[in-house]
Amino acid sequence: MPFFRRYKKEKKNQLSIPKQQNMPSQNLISSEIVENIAEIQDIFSDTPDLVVKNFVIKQINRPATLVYLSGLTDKNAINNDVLKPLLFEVDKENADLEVKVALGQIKETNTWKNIEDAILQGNSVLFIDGRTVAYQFDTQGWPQRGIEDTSIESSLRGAHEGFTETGSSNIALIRRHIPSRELKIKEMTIGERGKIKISIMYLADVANPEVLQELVNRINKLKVDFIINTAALAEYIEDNPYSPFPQLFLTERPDFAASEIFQGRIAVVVDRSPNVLIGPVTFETFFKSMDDYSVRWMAASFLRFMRYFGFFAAIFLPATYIAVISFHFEIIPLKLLLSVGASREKVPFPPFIEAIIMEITLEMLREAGVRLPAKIGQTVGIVGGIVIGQAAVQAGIVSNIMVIVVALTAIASFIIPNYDMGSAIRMLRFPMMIAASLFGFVGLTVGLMTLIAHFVALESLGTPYGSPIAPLRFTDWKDLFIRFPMWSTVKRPESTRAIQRKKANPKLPEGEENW
Amino acid sequence: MKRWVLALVSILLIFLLSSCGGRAPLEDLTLAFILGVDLDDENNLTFYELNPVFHKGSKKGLEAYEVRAKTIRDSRRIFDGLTTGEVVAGKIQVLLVGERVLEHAGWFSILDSVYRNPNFSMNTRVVAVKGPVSDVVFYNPGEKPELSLHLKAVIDKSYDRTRAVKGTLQELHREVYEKGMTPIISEVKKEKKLELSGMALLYNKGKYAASLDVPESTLLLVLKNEKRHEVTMTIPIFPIEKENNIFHKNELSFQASRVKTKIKTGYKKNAFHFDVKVNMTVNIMERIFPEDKVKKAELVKLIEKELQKQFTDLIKKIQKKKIDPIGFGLYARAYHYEQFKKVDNDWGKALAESDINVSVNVKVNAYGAVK
Repeated sequence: MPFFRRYKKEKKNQLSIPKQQNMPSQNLISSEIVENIAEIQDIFSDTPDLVVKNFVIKQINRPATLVYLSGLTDKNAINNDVLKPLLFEVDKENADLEVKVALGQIKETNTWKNIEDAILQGNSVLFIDGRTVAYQFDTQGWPQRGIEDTSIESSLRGAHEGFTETGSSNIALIRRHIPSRELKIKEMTIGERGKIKISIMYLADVANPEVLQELVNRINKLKVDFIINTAALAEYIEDNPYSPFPQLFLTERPDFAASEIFQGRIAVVVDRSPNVLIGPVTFETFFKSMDDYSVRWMAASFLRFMRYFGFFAAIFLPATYIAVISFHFEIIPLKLLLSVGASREKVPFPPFIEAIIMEITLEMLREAGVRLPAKIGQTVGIVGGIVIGQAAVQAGIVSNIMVIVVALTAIASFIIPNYDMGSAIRMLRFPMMIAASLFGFVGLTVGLMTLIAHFVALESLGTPYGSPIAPLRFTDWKDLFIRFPMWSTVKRPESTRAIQRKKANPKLPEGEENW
Repeated sequence: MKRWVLALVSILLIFLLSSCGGRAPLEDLTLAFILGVDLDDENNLTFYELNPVFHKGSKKGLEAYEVRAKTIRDSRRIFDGLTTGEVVAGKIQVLLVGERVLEHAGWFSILDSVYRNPNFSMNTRVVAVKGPVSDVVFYNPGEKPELSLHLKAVIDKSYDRTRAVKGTLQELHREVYEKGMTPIISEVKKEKKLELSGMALLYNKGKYAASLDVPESTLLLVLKNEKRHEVTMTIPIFPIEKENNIFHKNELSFQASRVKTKIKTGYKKNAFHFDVKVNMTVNIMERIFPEDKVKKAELVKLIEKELQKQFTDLIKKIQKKKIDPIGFGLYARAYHYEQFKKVDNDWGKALAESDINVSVNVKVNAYGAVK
């Protein structure tokens, strides 16, 4: 493979070129306001939305300059809370000649780096002539979306508020569920250019410090320009990037995030992204829905069973069809055999090709429907349902049974509540179909074994992904297939590695904390 | 990088694999549903095969072939030449064996391919045909479902009502090689219509010994303690008084809800003794004669007496033919192994000489909804 090796070398060379980076100046600001303005204009050249407002502070009678980016700031706050008091108000009793603004958060800084960051994040910065400190006002305000109902993880009876693109409000949404001083938030910034604020939220007396440290280390290691959203962050830090299964959970539901924090897991709020990342997770988390906890436990358990059944059906149904039709006709009951035979008779393709045609069509239909506006989207359904489904059978391209199989598969994959897991399953069925078409049930079994082997080996933030099935932990089965009544679940799942396993429960004696 | 290349290469290689050889989609197969074995007038082996035709153009949806061949495997060669798809044996529902074949002792060995070749299904029902097999295979009932389905359903339903044996290939194999009993298979005949005529009793090597009609089959199965979902009998309670008995005014039908047969063995004076106790709890389903004809207490006695007579007749018939379809030999072997061992090569004869007593104990559970 000399070609590949050469390619590899070239790539390495490219990487070794030092990155051009606009290193912000570490220098301190000057006391001369004119110099400061010059420096600001030097840093922010070609920035038409930068506002540099020169005025005289009435209180101390000194020239001052307020700098901010017009789109990122709240005009009301600047005009009423900053400019108005500075321009017009005089307070004789204020002997220290402090800056008086009607804002809660004021920071003093003196390095250009901080000032630059502050302005870029929507703060306004006030320079006063003769002072070597600048004042940084929290006047952030950008176009914001209101809190809306969740779109992917919708629920019938759960809360109807979803995360938005503003990190601070997402934190607030979670905090509303957890009014506890033990809810700690570790803040960090990643992305050399993007400067994304990341807040790691956890319960200090519950979450495992090792897991937390692992997560922090992984995020700290990131040397990237930017991450565009939480999913990108998940991709950077997940344990096995070559796995089809998602190893970190993305949720748009504050109530889900909060309940996972209560369990001892860790939530990562990424600013500018409407999803919150949760880790460490296990496979079964992807089969839970918030509604499981808002309906009675029997109904919830029934739905859980349906989902696990759906999981297997979605992966193995088309493959089983292929295997049975091509190799193992013996296992079809006689009457079904007659009707399958009659409907297959007209089809000119081998079962594998027939299945691939239908499955690809289905996947394309689904993808077409996702991106289209709702009004046009309906057309896709009609085209898919009538034209493809009915006409394809009548034209003899596919058999009736195949249409049923594809429809069942589609329904089975829709039942998976998590989008990432759903996509993984959609993908996994193709290798299974290939294996089945080549070796029948033997191929199918090999596929299943490979899948299980991979599943058992997976980890999420260093904790076993298959728990409580793959390391067998029966106490955690209370919330696996059957959702036992809430009052019977007194311990946090072992898979979270929580340092305090016992949930607050009056039924348990005191002093048995490290269960 | 290396990892990716390896993965890519192996995926490509898998695609190039020619895959398993035995692969053919369902519609390209000719699924034999019925296989028949018979002898023609000159004692040539004849094989029959019936398979469904999925093609829209065919009117019957079925086709049947008759070929002369040396063995079952050899017949496949000729069937392949006649049918569109590859003839496969995996779905054979019924194996028909002609009367003429059964009359020859060594016929069971022609089924060797059926047992040796794992493609054959062990659930295939083996059915004897009274008369030529071709009558059955080429019989097209028209208003009935497809022949193999119909035939299988008839056998299975009768089996569930304790009138026939399933007689799968697996059971037959056991019965043929079991020294303590002789094989039984269900029997059909085609006169005007195809019907179940009862059971064919065979000698140990498979040779035909006797036929039982359907009521006798039920009695036999009761003795074998093989009651299924339902045991129903219609028996005469008293002899006919007048000549004119169009409406069978002496008959009574019952359904046995519990049937338990116990066989006790003994060995005295160089002969085996069998004490057969049949315990039945019955519900009366039908009573043609008026109530005052027979008293209730007497009725039970009469039923027991009639049943005992029928059982005894059946056992005599069996003893006369020197066969053991009930499996007395199994009991003899279990309780009197040494004595059995001496005669196990000719158990039928030993059974014929042994002494078998039948006693019937009937309990009437319900007399029905009307008086």
